[in-house]
Amino acid sequence: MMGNKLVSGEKNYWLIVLVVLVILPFVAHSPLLHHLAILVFLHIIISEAWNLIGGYAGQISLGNAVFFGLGAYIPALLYLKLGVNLWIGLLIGIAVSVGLSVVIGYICFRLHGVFFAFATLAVAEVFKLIFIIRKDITQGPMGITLPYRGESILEMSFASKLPYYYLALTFSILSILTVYCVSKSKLGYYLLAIREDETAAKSIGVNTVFVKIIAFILSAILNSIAGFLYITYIRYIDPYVAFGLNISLIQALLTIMGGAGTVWGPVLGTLVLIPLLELFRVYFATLSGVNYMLHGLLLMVIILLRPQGIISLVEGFKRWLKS
Amino acid sequence: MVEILRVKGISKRFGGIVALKQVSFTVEQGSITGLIGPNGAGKTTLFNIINGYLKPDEGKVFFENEDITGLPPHTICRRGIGRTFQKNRVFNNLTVLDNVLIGALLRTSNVNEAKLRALECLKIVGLYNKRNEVVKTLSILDRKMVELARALSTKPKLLLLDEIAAGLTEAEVAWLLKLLKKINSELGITLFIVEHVLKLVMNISDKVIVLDHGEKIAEGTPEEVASNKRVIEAYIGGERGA
Amino acid sequence: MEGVFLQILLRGVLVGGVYALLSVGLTLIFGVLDIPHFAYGDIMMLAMYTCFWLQFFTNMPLFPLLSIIFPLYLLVGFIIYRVIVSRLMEKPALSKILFMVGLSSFLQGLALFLWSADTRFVKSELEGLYVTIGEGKISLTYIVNFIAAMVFFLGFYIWLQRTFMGKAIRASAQNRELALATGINIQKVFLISFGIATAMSAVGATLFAPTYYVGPFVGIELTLKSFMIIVLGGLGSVEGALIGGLIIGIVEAFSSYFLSSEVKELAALIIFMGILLFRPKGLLGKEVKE
Repeated sequence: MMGNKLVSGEKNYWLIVLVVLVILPFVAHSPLLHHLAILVFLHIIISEAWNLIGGYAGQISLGNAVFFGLGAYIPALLYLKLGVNLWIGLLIGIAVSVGLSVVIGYICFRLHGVFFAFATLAVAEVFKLIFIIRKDITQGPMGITLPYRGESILEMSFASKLPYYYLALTFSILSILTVYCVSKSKLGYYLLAIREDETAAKSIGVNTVFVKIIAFILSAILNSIAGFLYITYIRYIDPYVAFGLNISLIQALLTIMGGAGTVWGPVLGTLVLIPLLELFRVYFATLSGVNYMLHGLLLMVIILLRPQGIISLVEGFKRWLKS
Repeated sequence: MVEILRVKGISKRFGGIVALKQVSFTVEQGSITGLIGPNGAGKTTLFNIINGYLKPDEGKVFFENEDITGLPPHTICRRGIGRTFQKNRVFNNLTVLDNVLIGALLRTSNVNEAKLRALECLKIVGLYNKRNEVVKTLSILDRKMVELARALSTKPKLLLLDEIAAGLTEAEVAWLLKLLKKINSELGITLFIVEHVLKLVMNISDKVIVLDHGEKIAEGTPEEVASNKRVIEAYIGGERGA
Repeated sequence: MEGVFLQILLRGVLVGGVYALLSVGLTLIFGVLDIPHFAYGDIMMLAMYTCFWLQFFTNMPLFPLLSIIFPLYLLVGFIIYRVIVSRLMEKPALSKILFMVGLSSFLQGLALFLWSADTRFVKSELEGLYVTIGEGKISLTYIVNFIAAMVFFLGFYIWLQRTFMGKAIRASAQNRELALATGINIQKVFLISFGIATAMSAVGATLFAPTYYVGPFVGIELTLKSFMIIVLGGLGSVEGALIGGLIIGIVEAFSSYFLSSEVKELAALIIFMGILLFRPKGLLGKEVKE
């Protein structure tokens, strides 16, 4: 299994990278760089999330935005309407996401392939519509805003980007660790079995629905955390962003580009693509639609030419170095 | 002899077609039992029902005297029934070792223990040296052995083998024969074999069951079955190539 | 009150007929090529834009437009098959889905880039003409477009039943190995199927356009709607596309009368989920593809 090693020698490598990332904000002061880094970290979280269900288990979910959106809306709404502490709100949001992922998973995992993809898409659409319709609860299509109420970690409002940077970094490391642990465990192997041949997996004792739901739960938790970080950082969200196809698709794209079913694939995909996309957005903001075209083109090219993702290039390069 | 599997009155229809009609028989523990019949006789359907992939319209399946009718495949595997498929369902993009390891994970959550068990199974089928090869690069025989080793790693008491000899050369079939006999006698695993390669089945089985058009038309030793008039007619009449 | 009921029902049927034409191509693609054509609606979106621009520059009325759209999108379908889809046929299912999702994104971006997010409108020359039914009025556009859609649908159906290529296509949908064994040129079957399906959907989209709007993101909605219809009617079933289309048309008509437009979409989605769960075979479908 490629890209899964955290071998002794390499551990020092990662330590160095970690140290660099930790001191980076103090060395490089550009807020643009900090913003970019935060975006990268957030995307690592959601793409590792998709990796579990789409990469390892091979179930193409196009509805992960549901959990992202709930992770954003639930803490924010509880805070704005009932004064509930944002962090408590996050826990509640995660709990709701977990519960929903079991229900949605139980319903949708009976389906396969396109049917599953469309079903998850439909679920996300349903949530988007509900949040638009129920204006009384969710402020509808206008979205919600988190006001700045002075520096406070409880309120998750900060003037500088640094706290967001470190929080996002921490959670992104957590998400990578989660996928690493899964990949080494019975769950990870079972997910691969399901991806390769679900019928055969059943014949060797894999309770495929149960296993898929577990992966889905983990995926939901990570997405919810990302949603929470998103709204506390950006301070605004609406149903179109929260539950939109964009969030669901980018997770898939980044993972596939980098290498689905590997621990570092999504990280690679994110590191390559997100800065590129942001650059594009900043400099070509007037040329709308180019982002979509880029997403689509990249996805198509990767699938046709190198479906195993960029990481296979890296592995090939490493092997070449060794020889 | 103790029976390990009892199939009682199994019937199955697909739309208007009767795939199985009141099929009943037993498989004795520790035996090698064959299931033969012309194409379309319902053999794989029967396996799918025993294994849990299909529910019968009528009838019951008993394993070790417990009713397993309608249980899902993963539960039936846990109870002790393993299986290989006609289509050779291996995990193509994984290594030989990983394939079998996943099977071993049924009985232990510890990946290292599972790995040890997997290596044992690979030694039995002779694939130890190819354990790190990616399965899709292997020959037909090797891929079948991966599937067999994987099924073995789940510690089955009964193994359902669906046309495992299909597409093999004579030499390979002879080799397989020896292996299956060894698995049966040394590991004590009951084998229930669906085969078209009659040479294999008749040679190795203690008992043979014959299906034709969804009905059981004979049950007995290979000699008894081979000289059974109905069986001969069924094959000559309906055989579309073994 | 009865009059209103009948009016809504009629409106639903009229729209449903056009939906049937819209979605029948997808059922063909699924049945014959086994490709999850996520970008199906986006190509329809392009057809709608084509109509808009043709109308913009030449002021052509709707029906002459059809005579351009049909052959044009037949060609487009052929090209897309030859250049893109044929490379996809041997890839695993996962790859097919993801590729088509990519294509869909790309087309949306293309439309957004070329023509911006402004909504456009395709005009029917029958604009403003109404037929009085009972106590209400139905726009003539709905009626005429319905008839046109049915003509195309019927033509397609007859083509499938009577012509050699049509039969070859049906055979390939039923059992590809068997069809190959009888010497059918499967590549040609795929090419023609994809082309015809694209052309049909383009015509359907053209007939649908005057009652809707044209925008870069219409594609996803139409793909979802078409998928809903053919799942409802049964994957691979042409008759099913008709029934599915009519049902969805009627359900939408009633929901939009009694509820808001978002709730109408919600209702359709929930019905869709219901079908996927309880009867994935659809009403007239054959087996479910695993």
